Amino acid sequence: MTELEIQNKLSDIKNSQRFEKTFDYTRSFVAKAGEANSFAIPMTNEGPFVQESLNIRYTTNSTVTPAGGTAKPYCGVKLKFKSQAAGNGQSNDFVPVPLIATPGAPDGERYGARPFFYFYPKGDVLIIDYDNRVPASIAGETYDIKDERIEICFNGKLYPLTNV
Amino acid sequence: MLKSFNEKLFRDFVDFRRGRICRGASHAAQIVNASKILRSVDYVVPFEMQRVIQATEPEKPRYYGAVTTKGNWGFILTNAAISVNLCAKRNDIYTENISKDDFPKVKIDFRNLAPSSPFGTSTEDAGAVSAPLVIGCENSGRYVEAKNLFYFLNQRFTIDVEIFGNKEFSGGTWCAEGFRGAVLLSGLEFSEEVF
Repeated sequence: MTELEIQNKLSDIKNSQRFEKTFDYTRSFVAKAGEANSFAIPMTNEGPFVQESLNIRYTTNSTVTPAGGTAKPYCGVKLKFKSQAAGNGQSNDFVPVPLIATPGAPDGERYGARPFFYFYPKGDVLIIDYDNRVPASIAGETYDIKDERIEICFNGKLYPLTNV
Repeated sequence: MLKSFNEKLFRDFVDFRRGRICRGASHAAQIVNASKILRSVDYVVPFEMQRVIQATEPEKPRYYGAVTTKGNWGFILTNAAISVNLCAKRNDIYTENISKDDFPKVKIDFRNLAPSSPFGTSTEDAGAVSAPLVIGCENSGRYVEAKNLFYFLNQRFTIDVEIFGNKEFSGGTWCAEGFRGAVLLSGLEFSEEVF
């Protein structure tokens, strides 16, 4: 290619947002028993990030014992995600982890990923709220809430050299 | 970006905003592609059910919940999932796991719209579909998902969720049912320019 063709190609990539690379943002944290808290994942300033899916693993160290029954493994952690730039949450309420984690047995290997499309502008911050407080008993059941490890991977595409 | 989203939507839309079928895939694609912003969203309806059923009470415990979509954003419902935890014994048997027979039924209605229910009639229990058939059941606390629903809904649209116990009392035996869980209605929201 001539020098002019190369410069045109670079300009084309810079302006057309066609230059993209796959990227994973990951966060592993402990949802402390009896607590609700928040984590922030700063995004890169390379360019905007288009999230396409997420993958979540969680432990079931806690137990729930139905009235008169025996204890069963349980994870009561609820999560909420939001973009600092957008302000609004990605759900109307906290979501129980078993509903959005990818399939598989408790504490087992996960497979696949849950599609979830979201746009984060360059330099945005992804905020994760969690709630691992003890739920109120409704039918005589008892809860033994423990710390749970949550591992989340947000997979998507980065668009470097863009001005969004 | 929008083109790649559209490629993942494999079925024609039913436009429940006006109570009619979209003219075709091109009409649906036109609406989606006209949107400046398209992104995923989750709506959660938590529920708790507790009811002691005596021998003289043939009713099943029910729980009603509802969620309203955000203003200025249309909503395409694509997936529904439910997680349930058993909190009480049933029929004097101390069950530890929820079997498919024990799993509560779920009915989802689109309020003020006809046909309102994606799962049958909205006024009769016979129209309600047992959760295992629609959303499925593996075990207590687990979730399974109904996919490829593709219902095209409006901004500030209310979706009613009704959960009710699946087992009637067994004559002479009283039982207690206690469930806690959540229904997750997932989909895509698109910006208001299409309205």
